Amino acid sequence: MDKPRVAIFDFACCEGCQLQIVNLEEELLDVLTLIQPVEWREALSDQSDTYDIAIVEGSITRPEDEEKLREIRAPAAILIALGACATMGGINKLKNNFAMDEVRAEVYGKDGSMPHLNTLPTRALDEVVKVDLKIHGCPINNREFAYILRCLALGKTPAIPNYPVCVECKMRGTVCRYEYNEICLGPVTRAGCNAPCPSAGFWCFGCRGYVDDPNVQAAREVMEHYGKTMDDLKSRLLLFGSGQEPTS
Amino acid sequence: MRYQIASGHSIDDVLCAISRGRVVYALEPSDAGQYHLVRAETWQPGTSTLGSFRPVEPLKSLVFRPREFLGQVGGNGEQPAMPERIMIGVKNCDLSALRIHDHVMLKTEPADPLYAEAREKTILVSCDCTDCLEVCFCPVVGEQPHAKEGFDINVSPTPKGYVIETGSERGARVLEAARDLLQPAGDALVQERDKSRAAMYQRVVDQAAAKGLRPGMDFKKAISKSFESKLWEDFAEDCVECGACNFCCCTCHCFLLADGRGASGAPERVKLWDSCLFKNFARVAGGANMRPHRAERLLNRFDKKFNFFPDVLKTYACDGCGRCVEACTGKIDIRDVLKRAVDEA
Repeated sequence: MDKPRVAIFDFACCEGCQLQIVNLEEELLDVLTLIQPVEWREALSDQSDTYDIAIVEGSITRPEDEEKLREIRAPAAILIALGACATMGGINKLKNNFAMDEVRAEVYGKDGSMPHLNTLPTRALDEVVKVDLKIHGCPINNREFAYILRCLALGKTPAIPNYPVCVECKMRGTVCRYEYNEICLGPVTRAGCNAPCPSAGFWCFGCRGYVDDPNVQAAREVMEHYGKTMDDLKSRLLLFGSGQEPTS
Repeated sequence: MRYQIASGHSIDDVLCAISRGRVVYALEPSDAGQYHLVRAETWQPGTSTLGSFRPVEPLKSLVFRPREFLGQVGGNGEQPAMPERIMIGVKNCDLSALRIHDHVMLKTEPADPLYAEAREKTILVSCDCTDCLEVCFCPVVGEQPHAKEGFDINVSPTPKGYVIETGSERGARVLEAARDLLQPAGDALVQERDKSRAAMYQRVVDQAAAKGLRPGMDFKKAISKSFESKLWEDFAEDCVECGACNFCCCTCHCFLLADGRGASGAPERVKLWDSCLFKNFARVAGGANMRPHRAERLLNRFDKKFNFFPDVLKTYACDGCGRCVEACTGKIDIRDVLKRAVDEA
């Protein structure tokens, strides 16, 4: 059987998720026994228009991005959104809290009105084209990336957790950040990262997006129990959750 | 057979003697006023303790571990044999919970060889509770804060000394190692033990009464009549699906068989703790989900504990350890749920 041809593309992002793939190092060689990369700007000088799997990083922020993404989607049997920018707009969606001319003036000053700096409200990939699979996180967990690619190569459905980060904190025996009088997004955020932030002493930033069915009422009760407000919680959600819909 | 410690010897001497040559699991006090179940290697006087109430971690985690290796494709999948272990300081809630695990893992065919090995290799030294946590309510579900059966050796602290009792042939063999430190227990001391036990039982009964619960309440009837009640919607509103109640529960035993990649890179299959509160728990092939709503999943948890197990095993699958009350992120109190179900029935 031929190895599936995989192309990796990027839009507005820091390209840190691609870097995470390169950071697989030895395991990357293992992954390459299953797939054939045909385009990957960060690691390959080749380019190709024929591929089976398109892995797309970054969010859609400019008029030309939308057209480019449709072109990428067309030949791909499977399109994977890679990382928070692609799965839900990520930090780029902070922009959507402001007017676009305000954003342009803030970043580019008086040159902000030049035509090539035209910008649109940030969109996640699935707001533009059909997305078959999302690899969550900012950055992605490269082990999970390798696991998902292996599953696809074997024709299996990858198991992506649909429970909140709290589960992984409990499994690791990590003391709840609320017990330290902090506000943590763990109760509404999709697990799968193995809760590295709470375990290292930081609250969960919510970079993997909401679980399918976040219990907002329960989050409210948790906030009340620890003497916090929903506004406190919303202020934390701005970073990754601006205009975010529940992910799937 | 009941013993007391011969003069000139201490309980530490006895525990050191019976644990020699075995991996020791014991309790250690935590800064937060709780106990942790720890692998201590040897009994360490001054650090290891029998504990006056149950530890944060359930006993089940020794015999039904959170992650168990089942098999591997290629490579060397052999697991090292489990060493002889001795768990000192088991409390009755945890000990009694093994009847549920034994039923599920051993008595229901096919038996689980990993569980069987762990049970076989783990000597259980239980100890009466001499104190309780605010969340303890064992008498309400038909238990008591001291072991009646299921232990190899039981230790009862009383104000006038320890009563040490064997509960199995294996326990008697193990206690042989401390033969020179023991003498048959006097009747006065055994009476003292029974007095301490009765007082402790009453204390837990009284504290449960403050939450509106008392021994003998019919939870089976209450839960079986609650299916249409709004109580599940109301309590489920606070559930964040963190799974903590299942993981810390002394009787919860559901697991997930998952395929992954082992340390050597070879594909492997593992057995993981699972939670019936997770949205995907009841999802089946084809994507259908029998319990898509949170309230249905919460009801299922109580239905299984208080309705299903009384049917199949004539016992509740809850020992009143109160761990779920402490661990719940959404602060759902099992006592409040039971009370409301009883009130509505």
